[in-house]
Amino acid sequence: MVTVKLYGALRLRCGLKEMSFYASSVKEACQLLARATGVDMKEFKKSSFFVNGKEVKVGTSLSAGDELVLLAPPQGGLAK
Amino acid sequence: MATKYGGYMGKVLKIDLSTQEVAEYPWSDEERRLYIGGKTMAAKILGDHLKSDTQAFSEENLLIVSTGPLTGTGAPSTSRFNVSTLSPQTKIITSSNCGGNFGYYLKKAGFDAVVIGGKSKEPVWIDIHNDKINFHSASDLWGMYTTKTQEALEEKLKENYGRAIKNGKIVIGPAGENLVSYASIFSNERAAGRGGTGAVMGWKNVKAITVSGNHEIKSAHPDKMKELNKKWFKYLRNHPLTGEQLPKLGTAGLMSTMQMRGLLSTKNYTYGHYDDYEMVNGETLAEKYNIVNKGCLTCPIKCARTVEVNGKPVKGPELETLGLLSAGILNCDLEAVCKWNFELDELGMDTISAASTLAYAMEANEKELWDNGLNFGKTENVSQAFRDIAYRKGIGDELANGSRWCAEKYGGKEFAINSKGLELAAYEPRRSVGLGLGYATSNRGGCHLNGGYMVLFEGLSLMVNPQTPKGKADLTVMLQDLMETVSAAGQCLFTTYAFLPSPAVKNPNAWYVKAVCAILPFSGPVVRLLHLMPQIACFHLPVIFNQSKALKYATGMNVTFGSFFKCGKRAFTLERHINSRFGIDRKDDTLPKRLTDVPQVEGDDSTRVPLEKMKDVYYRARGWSKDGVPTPKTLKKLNLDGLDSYKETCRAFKEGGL
Repeated sequence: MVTVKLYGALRLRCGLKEMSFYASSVKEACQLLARATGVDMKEFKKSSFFVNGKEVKVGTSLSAGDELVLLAPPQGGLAK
Repeated sequence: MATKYGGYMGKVLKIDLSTQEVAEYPWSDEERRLYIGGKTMAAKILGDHLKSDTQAFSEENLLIVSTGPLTGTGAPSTSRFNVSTLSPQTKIITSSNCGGNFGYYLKKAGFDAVVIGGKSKEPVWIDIHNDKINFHSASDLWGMYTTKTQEALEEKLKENYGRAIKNGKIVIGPAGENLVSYASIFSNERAAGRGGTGAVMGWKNVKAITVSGNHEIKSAHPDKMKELNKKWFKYLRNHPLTGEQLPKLGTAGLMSTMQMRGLLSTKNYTYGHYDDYEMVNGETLAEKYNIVNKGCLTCPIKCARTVEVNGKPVKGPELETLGLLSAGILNCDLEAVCKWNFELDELGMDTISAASTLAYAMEANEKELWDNGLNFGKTENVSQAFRDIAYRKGIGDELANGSRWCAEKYGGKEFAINSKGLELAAYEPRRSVGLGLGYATSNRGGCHLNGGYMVLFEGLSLMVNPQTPKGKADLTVMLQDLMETVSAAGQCLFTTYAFLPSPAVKNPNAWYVKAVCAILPFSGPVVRLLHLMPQIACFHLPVIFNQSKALKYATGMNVTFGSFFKCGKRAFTLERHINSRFGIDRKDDTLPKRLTDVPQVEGDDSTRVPLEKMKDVYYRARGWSKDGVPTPKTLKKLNLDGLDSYKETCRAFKEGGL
C-alpha cells in the first residue's frame, strides 16, 4: 500500500485529500486517482511528485509504505 | 489644479494638523506624467520635503495617502490606495499599498491624494466630503480597536449627515496610538500594514479619516476602458492563479508548495520545512475554517478568507502571517493563528513584523541572550505578548521596536530576520536566491512584493532554477520595475500573477515551459536592452499584461509597455535616491548572516543566498554606482535631474564621496 496526498486547488476540485492503495509507480497512482475521482488523468500528471519528501518523475517506482505527494498546479512544475 | 488627463480628480489636498489649515497641494500634469500616482507620487512629495535629519515622529514628516489614475475607473482590483511616510521602524521612506474601499471614496470626495503634515494638539478624526474638510475631536474614539472605531465612525457620519452615506475610512488602533514602530493603518479589514504608517498617524494625533462624495471619476477613453475591463475581468477569472488558486485557497494556497520546495521558513528561518504543516496549510484553512471568500471593491480575485473567531466572522490570515505564526514559531494550532491574526488587526499592527519579532525573541530566549518567557512551541502567552506590544507594557515595550532594535540590545543579529529594519515575509530565500536579492534591495526594507517577488518564478508558479544567481539580478530589476508602476497606477499587485501565461501555469511540466525556465537565467541581455532603450517596446503586451493599455485609456497619456516599464524604473530609483539621503547604500542591502552564510541544507553551499555577487550585477543593471547609489547619469536619464537633491548628488560624485 502507498499513501497518496493531494495538495492545491485540484484537491478542492475533486474533493480528495488522501488515499491509500496498491500502485507500483507514480504513473499508476495517477491512473488510480483519475479512476477514483473521475478527473482526467492528465490533470494529475501535470503535478509535481514527491516520494517521501524527495521530488521524483512520473515514471518513478513506488514501494509499499511510500508516501506520495502530488502538488497540483500552479506550483512551478518538476524541478528536474 | 485641474488636469488634462483622465483618471485623475486633478486635486491634491494638503492638511497642516498644527494649524488645521487646508490648501491645495501643487501637483502638475508633468508630475502626473512622470510619477503617475500612488507610491511614486508620494515618493516625489516626500523627496521634496524630507531632510536628512528629519525624524519619523516630527511635524516635518508627512503622511501621504494617495491613489492612482486607475482607482475607480472600473479596472480590476483598483479600489486601492497607498500610504507613504518616513518610517519610525526603518528610518527610511516606507510605502504600503492597501485594499478596502478608501481609495475609491477619496476620489469620490474630489481628491487624488492627501498630504498631511504637522501635529494635532488633541486627537482628531478628519472628515473629507465633497471637497470640504472637517476636523472632529476623537477623544471618545481614542483607545478603541480598529473595528470598533470604524463602527463608531459609521454612526457619527450618519448623525452628521442625517442619513447613512457611502464612505471609506482609514483608522488606527491602540498600537498606532502607542507608537508601536510597526503599527498599521486599517481600511475595513485591510491594512496598509508595513513600516509603521499607523505609528506616524498616531503620533500626529489622527485617529481616523473618512472620505465620501459624489464626484465623477472619468477615464479619457471610457468606451475603450470598458471594453478592456470586460476582457480583463474574464482573463483574470479564467487564469489558474487569479481565477482558481487565489479564490479557492487564498494566498495561503502557496504554503504546501513552499513546504515541499524548502521555502517555508521554520523556527525563525532555521529550516525550510515544517513537519506539522498539514495542520496549518491553505488547504486545511479552506476546508476547516474558511466561511466565505471576500474581495475588495472591483476585485474579481477575492483572495481574502473569512474565518470564525469567538463566534464572529473575521478576516482570515494571509500566507505570510500564517507561515510566520505557525512554522515560524513551531505552532500547529491553526485556530490560534486565526485568533492572533484577528487580535493583531484589532490592535492595529503589522502581523509580519509582530510575528517575526516574536520568533526572534523566542530564539534569543532559547540561546539565553534574553530571558523573556517566550518559547518556540509555547502558545499560551502569545496573545498577551501581542497586547503588551500594543500597549507597550513589560517586554512588549521592547518588542514594539522590532527585531533589529531588539537584536542591537540583546545580540543575535544573525537571526533577527530583517533587512533595513523591516522583517521578511515567510518565504525562505535560501531556496529562492533571486527573492533573497529582492528582499535585500527592496526600498522599504525586507519585503517580498517591493522586492520583485522572484519566488513566483523560482518555484511557486514557474521553475527557474532557484539556487542559481545567474540572471536573477536582471529579472529582479524587471519585476521590481513593473510592479512599481502597477502599484503607482492604483492596482493590486496580485493582478500581475496573470503576467504568467495561463497555459504555462496550468501545465508546468510541458516542454515549452521547461524551455522557457531554462532560458530565463540567460535573458539578462534582453532585459538590459529594455532598461537601456525602453522606447523600443513601443507596444502593449497582448492579453497577459493589460496594465499599460489600461493606463493609456484611463489617462489619455501615450503609454506603451516600454514607457510603463520606464516609469517603474524611475519610481524605484527615485525611492532609492531619497533613501540615499538617509545614508542607505550597498552596506544596507543585506540579509541576516543566517541566510547568506549558513546553508539551509547542511553541506550544500548552493542553499544560501550569494548576495554580494548578485548585488554587483544588480547595481550595474540599475545604473547605480558599485556602492549602490544612483548616479547623476542615471538620474538624468530617468528625468530625475529636476530634483533639488540632484545637484547634491552630482557634487558628491564629483568629489568622490559616493
